[in-house]
Amino acid sequence: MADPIAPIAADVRPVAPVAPPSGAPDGVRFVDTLKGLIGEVEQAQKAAEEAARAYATGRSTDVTATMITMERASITLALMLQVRSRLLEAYQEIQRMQV
Amino acid sequence: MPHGALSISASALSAQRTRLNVIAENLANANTTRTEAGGPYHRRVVRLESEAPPFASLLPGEPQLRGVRVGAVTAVPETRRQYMPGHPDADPEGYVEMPNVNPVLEMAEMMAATRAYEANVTAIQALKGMAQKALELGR
Amino acid sequence: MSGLFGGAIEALRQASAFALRRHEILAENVANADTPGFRAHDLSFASELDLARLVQSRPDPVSELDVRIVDAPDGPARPDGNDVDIDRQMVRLTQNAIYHNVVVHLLNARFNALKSAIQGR
Repeated sequence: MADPIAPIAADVRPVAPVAPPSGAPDGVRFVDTLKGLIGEVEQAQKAAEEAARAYATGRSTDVTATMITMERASITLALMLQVRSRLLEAYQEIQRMQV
Repeated sequence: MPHGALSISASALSAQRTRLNVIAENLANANTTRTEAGGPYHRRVVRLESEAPPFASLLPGEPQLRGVRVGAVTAVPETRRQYMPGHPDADPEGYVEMPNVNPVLEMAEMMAATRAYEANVTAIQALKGMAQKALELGR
Repeated sequence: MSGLFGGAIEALRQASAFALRRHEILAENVANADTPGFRAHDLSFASELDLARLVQSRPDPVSELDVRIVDAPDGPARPDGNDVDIDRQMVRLTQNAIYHNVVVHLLNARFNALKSAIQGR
């Protein structure tokens, strides 16, 4: 399935907090969401590898559960990558604005 | 890779096929009055019994599911006397010792064994269908 | 983030696991349809888990289903002690396989919806 997760967090530099113009309450920082997701992805990947191994060695014969576990890992990874890509876009846009 | 249900169904295919072979042998020898061992052919019957399939994973607390095997193939000692005075194996009174094979009964047995064989094939196909469907997840 | 997948996917996973377990029991019945003394079994949730209930999105994960293997004769035992009717077993088996495949289809629909939501702009 997937390659081991490279330290992606290194690519993401935290955006300096900018005071919300309307004085809205502090929300969740997107980079925290991303870090949480990376943890989820690691967990899901481990579960997928374990499920595949259990099936291959005959410990499990539930092919459906195995496929579900693997698909969950795949979707979690896709979500994390999408969040990361949006975050990068936002960061780059802010960088441009600072010129 | 051992799959419990698969080996159970496979064991039944094997057992029913043996049963069909024995029935076929009975039918082929329905009129055999002289075997190599001397004397008429004796009808053979198959006795089935449950068996634990090999390599089946036994989860703690889960009862072992059992397949089936041929326990024994025994020859039935009974024969029947038929009045056939011209027969080369007729005794002085004109009776021949014939195998106790009733073709109608054997045919009924053959149909039952065939139906059982096909039912186990259906079970395997159903399992295969479920596995293939599961493999579609994510496509 | 298990909220991403929700309780419905876990419920559907249980339904598919139930179907696979049930197939094993029914396959054992079919294999032993002519074995003297063999008694037919089934799982205690003999009527299939209500699919409509399962697919409602639920936030809480469903606790593992309590199913047991129970006696399930097809009729009175024959003289050799066997109570399996091979034709009835084949019907149950086929229905069970269809049930499993419907559950997988529902799972896949959910996964595809999630993937679309993730990609969508």
